[in-house]
Amino acid sequence: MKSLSDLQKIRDEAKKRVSMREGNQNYRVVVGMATCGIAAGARPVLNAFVEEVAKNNYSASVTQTGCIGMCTLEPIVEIFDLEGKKTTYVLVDPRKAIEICEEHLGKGKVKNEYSVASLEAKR
Amino acid sequence: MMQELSMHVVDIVANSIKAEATEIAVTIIESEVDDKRGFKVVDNGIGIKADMLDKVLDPFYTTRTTRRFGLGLPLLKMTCTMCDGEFIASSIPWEKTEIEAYCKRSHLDTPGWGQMAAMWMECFSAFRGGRLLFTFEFDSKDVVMDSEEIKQALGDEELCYEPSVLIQLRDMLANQLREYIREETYEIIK
Repeated sequence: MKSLSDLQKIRDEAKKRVSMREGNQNYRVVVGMATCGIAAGARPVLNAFVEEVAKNNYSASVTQTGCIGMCTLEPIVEIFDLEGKKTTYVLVDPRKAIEICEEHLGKGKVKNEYSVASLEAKR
Repeated sequence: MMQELSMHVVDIVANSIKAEATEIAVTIIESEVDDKRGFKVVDNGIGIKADMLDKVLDPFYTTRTTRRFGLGLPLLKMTCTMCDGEFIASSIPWEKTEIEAYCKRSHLDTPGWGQMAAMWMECFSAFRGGRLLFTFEFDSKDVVMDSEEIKQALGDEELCYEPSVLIQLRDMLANQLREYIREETYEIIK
């Protein structure tokens, strides 16, 4: 474990960052991390989301959940907005994760081409 | 398929979280001296009843109703068996459920660790309700990450899960691990 002073430095920086954001946590990003998700590569996807949100100070939280139920479409990421509206992204990889962050968390626009809805439309 | 041991760790810890544990202790063991690589997860969750202990290792058994199989534990047992290691599961419901999984370190099929610091971060961020005690046991030294200490130092529990904080904690741990473990056996972050 690192020293207390390191952690306190991290705390002070984090507090500053939170106070700089307008509106707290507009989005909730949920990554499916059950056996199926992990095997399909959900871990790099989760790390990409956490890194992008941190880098750009998006007002979003990133959490994990178990199996979302469409194991063949893992890694699956759900993004909830403040009204509770859910967008489900499927077959996500770290590159797509960065694009989704930019569009959805940054500009508030759903990145349709990676969503499950567009996949269903193609079928 | 789980190509890295860290994937198994994240998976088994997810089981503990789902089992409503309030305390989870993870011990990562990497020892050249004992020729051992593996981990132990102990939790105080709902546990596995005695008559279920054999069943959970059957890939076609699950308590879920959404699907007819559960693969996490069978896959882990397969990895251990394949690599001359051992797999032990024991459980006293709501007291102590223990999953131990070891491989012979020098076995050719023994997987590498993968991203160790990220592994900790993923477990930490998934388990927001309770205490996560993570110990990395190396031949020369132990590295400990205790969620209670982190929460105390940061003061505010919400703040611990801020993405920027998670990344910094992850990278801080990665720097520490770098000193004690040979780099070819794992990737530190990615």
